[in-house]
Amino acid sequence: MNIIVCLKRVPDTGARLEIEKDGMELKPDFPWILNPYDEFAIEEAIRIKERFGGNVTLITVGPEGGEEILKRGVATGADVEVYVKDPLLQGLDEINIAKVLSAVISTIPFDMILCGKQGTDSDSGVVGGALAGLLDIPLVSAVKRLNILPEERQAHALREVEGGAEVVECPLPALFTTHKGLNELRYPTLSGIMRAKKQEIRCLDLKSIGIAANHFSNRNFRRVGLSYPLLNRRGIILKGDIKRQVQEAVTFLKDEVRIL
Amino acid sequence: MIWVLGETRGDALAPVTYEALGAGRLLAGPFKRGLSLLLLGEGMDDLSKGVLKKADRIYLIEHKLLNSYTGYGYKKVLEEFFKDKDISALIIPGTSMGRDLAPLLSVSLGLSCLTNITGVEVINNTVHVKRPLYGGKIVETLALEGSAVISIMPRSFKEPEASERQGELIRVEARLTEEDLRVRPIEVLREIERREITEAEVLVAGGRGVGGPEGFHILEELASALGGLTAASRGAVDAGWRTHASQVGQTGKVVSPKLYIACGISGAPQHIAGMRTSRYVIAINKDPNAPIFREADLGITGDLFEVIPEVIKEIREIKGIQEGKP
Amino acid sequence: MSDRYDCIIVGAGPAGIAAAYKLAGAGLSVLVFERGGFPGSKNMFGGILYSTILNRLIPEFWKEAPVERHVVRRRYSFLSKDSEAAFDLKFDAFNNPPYNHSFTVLRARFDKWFAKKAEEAGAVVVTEAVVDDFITEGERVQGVKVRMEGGTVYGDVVICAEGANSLLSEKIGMKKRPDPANMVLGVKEIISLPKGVIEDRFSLEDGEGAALEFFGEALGGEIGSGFIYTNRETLSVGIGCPISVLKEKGMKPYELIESFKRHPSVKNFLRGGKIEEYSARMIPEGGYDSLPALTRDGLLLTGDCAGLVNPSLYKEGTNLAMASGVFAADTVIEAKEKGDFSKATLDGYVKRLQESFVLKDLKRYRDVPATLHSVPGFFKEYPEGIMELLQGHFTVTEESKEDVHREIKRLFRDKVSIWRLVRDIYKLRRLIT
Ligand SMILES: Cc1cc2nc3c(=O)[nH]c(=O)nc-3n(C[C@H](O)[C@H](O)[C@H](O)COP(=O)(O)OP(=O)(O)OC[C@H]3O[C@@H](n4cnc5c(N)ncnc54)[C@H](O)[C@@H]3O)c2cc1C
Ligand SMILES: Cc1cc2nc3c(=O)[nH]c(=O)nc-3n(C[C@H](O)[C@H](O)[C@H](O)COP(=O)(O)OP(=O)(O)OC[C@H]3O[C@@H](n4cnc5c(N)ncnc54)[C@H](O)[C@@H]3O)c2cc1C
Ligand SMILES: Nc1ncnc2c1ncn2[C@@H]1O[C@H](COP(=O)(O)O)[C@@H](O)[C@H]1O
Repeated sequence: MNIIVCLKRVPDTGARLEIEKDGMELKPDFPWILNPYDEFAIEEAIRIKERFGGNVTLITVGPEGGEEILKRGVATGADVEVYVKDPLLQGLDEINIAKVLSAVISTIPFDMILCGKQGTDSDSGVVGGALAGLLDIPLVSAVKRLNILPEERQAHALREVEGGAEVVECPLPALFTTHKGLNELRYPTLSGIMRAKKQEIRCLDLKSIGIAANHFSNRNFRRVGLSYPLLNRRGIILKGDIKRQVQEAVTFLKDEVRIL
Repeated sequence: MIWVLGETRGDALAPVTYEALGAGRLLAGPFKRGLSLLLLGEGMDDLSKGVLKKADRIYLIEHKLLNSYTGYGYKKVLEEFFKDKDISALIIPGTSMGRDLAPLLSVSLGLSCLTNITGVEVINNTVHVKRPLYGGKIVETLALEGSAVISIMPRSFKEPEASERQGELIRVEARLTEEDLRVRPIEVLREIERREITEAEVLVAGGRGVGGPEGFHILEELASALGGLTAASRGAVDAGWRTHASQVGQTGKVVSPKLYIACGISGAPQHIAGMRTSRYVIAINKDPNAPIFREADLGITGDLFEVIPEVIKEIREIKGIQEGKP
Repeated sequence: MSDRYDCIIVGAGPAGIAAAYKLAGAGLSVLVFERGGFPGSKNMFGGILYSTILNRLIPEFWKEAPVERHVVRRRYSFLSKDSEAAFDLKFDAFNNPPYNHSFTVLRARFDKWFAKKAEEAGAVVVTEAVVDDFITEGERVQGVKVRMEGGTVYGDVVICAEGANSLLSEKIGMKKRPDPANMVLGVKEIISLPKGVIEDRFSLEDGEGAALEFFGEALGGEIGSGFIYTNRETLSVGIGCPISVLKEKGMKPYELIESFKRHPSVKNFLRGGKIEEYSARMIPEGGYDSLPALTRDGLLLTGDCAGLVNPSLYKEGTNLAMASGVFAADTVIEAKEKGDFSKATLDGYVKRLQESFVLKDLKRYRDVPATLHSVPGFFKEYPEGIMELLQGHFTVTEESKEDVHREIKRLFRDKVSIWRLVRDIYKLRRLIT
């Protein structure tokens, strides 16, 4: 099984995020992390490789900072790191990121692709599906259980749907997007970390994968601003006698929420 | 034309279908565009009755292979359908179906793709849409400058008013084969009576403070007294007390109920990311400094096992009195 | 892990990284373990980096390092309960390189940058790696055990740069559990304010910084002091207080910093600011007389872990940590050439420390900690007495000046015995000179 895992770098949503004065960008001073959903993708790829052999290729696309997120994956057992790094990628929308990915991936033989279900930056969840569409391979999104049948070149996957789950079947090669709960993450080993430190990243730019800026399709939307969510919370914190507190809460339910 | 893709839930249209029509109206209105609803699958006639006055046209695209959702099946049929039609926007519910379909369809129709939209506004003849970023810590406003597939967050839009006129019902026969589906559903697992937390009006959520799986009984009781469902923090899910399907937060679900009651949840940013858009929030926590109180309309400081039984008692009393009335 | 390294370093603080940088530059194979997610992620200090050593390692480092501001203004203020007497100094000369070797920095940024420089020099820095134990053969330290799969690593020599709370050196018996009397708890908040507001409020130009130290009743009359340092868009605000005092009085660290921030003379500097971070950490202030053994076969202790903090008013630790790191590295390079990692060879490190400002300064200020404890009036009666004196002097009334003065002196004497005052002033001289 040759598996490709697509990785995205996202701001750590646990950190303080502030908007620049111009209201268009974030103040740059926040920590970046690997998209949490992508961790499940890496882990799943490594497990499949451990069972059936093959190799795991990590790919990330972006203008900067991709090195760190690739390294962690190698430290836990992935094999190859590919980084498409180009200043032109700054601010590119998901559909066009998928185009870049598909251009790179069509030069690499693979049996399956794993993406995160969505990036925790904008929660879009577009790149995986768009990539499957561009490569014209089956797509199963938000997978919580994955069973590969290498002989039959088939996969069975369980994905969550409203009010339950469904089990689906598809031929390989296919693209799966990973949901939390798919697996338990492992920690890197020291030898893995050392291997990752030594291993060289395969760095590509847009030109080297044959994409010119005019290959990109129109992005039919434009950011006009960032703002903080309006929270009109009353913010009343009651203390003391439980009965009194509960009475107030029930009045709130009756008069404000109007639910009783 | 503004298009809306409908979704069914059991024998009815999913609530998010109405919400998508609401979003569609907001887009269609100022530009005097028509609004059309697409319903895929067989036997939609009955279902379409409830929305006849909410759209200008209703297309029933029929084929037995469309009775359950498949990404490539839907994509193929819609690609064919839209061949000779103009699209200003195609609105798709942000559900497990819509999130799967939106990117596939965007690529095949050559449109931009915007997901997770929570608001639409028209300013100086430009459509502005809003979506939350970074777990809801920031809101992004985007100006729409061309056609796009837009998926909307459930419970973010209001159902549109019914118009005077009935929409026109148009039947389309689709062509589809088994091979087109690529991904074949082989089994559907329904949790008994489990409804979807993203679609609930009231959620009673529990965290590590609930202490164990048994602790959730009392939350269930409160939820049912309020006609809602229970949900959980990752703390409670990781402890194995609840399933991940009920997890609210960054790596769970984003919910926007009318009322969210957080019980024994500290209020980590990753949890807040999932519930910030709730209309009203009540927090019950015994730690007066718990960050969840900063996100609450009303905070109750105390042990949830003392507080909740009292609340249930009060609610039952009120309901009892109401029911007692003629 | 089968590889063997020339040197293994525990901790990517200023001490560990300075050593790594020097060693890697000399071509030795160096492996640094840091338990934080990245170097600096878990580190906190007051906020002034004294940089004579760093500038020798990386000349003109300020051109690339993430420093916040260079300190041109220093203000020492003496507080009583509600009044303040301050001594304010500003030197324009400090606006020129090397900027008086005093920069405000935020450790999360600075340590990360410094570690990156060491990596560029060839050191390997492994993060999220907690060292649990040394590996010994007889007396000789041969490597470390890291808390991860395959985490046994061997090296010719280990430099321990674990910081103030060094469990490893205690475990191996080089250090005792720190004596609470010698440990100061530092509590610090980062408070954000717009850049312009900071510059206006502290009368600074772009890039200039101020360091404000508060003594006397900074902590409601307890032993200890407070500080405010200006960063680019934040203030570092904090206090230091001996752990023994906290214990004795049953006080919580955040209560102390709150009471400091409420003082009328402090409050206004912070007005409108937003608290971004809170942290607390120990500073070993035992000084010269409580230094541990610094070497043994195959092992050297550096920085805070070796107790190398100047307990005077300067609160200088980073510079000493870096100096000790460099000296340890020099010694290891020498040992490598000789192929001898015995204590005898590694004691070259101690000699280097003794000949440098590190141990000379520590020796000079050796009495400071004891003095502070023996002059409790410094933090309570004196501030009040002196302030009353000054206030009386400056208060405008219709009484004759002579009467006023007589009355003030009487008041002060009631509070403070002259003999004790003279004795204490003599003792305190040591603090400043
Ligand atoms: C990448 C990432 C993704 C994450 N995703 C999510 C996510 O999707 N959803 C999520 O929720 N978390 C998520 N987390 C975890 C999150 O950071 C917190 O760890 C988690 O939300 C804590 O759960 P909790 O509030 O239930 O538990 P705790 O933080 O332990 O809080 C328990 C609370 O219960 C209170 N309490 C205890 N007993 C009682 C009582 N008897 N009565 C009243 N109050 C009581 C306590 O005062 C405390 O405030 C994520 C973390 C990371 C790093
Ligand atoms: C409140 C306060 C204010 C101060 N103000 C100043 C000031 O203004 N100016 C000044 O010069 N000094 C100041 N100091 C002192 C200064 O912070 C220290 O002297 C200096 O940081 C010491 O450097 P170090 O490298 O020895 O240790 P540290 O900076 O403490 O670094 C130790 C490193 O080791 C890591 N570590 C620890 N144990 C392990 C382990 N087992 N395995 C792996 N990694 C480990 C830690 O995570 C840390 O990164 C202050 C200190 C405090 C607490
Ligand atoms: N720049 C990128 N480089 C590589 N993979 C990406 C990139 N952006 C998104 N992905 C993948 O697509 C998934 C969904 O991201 P998104 O569509 O941005 O929500 C991520 O979890 C990644 O697996």
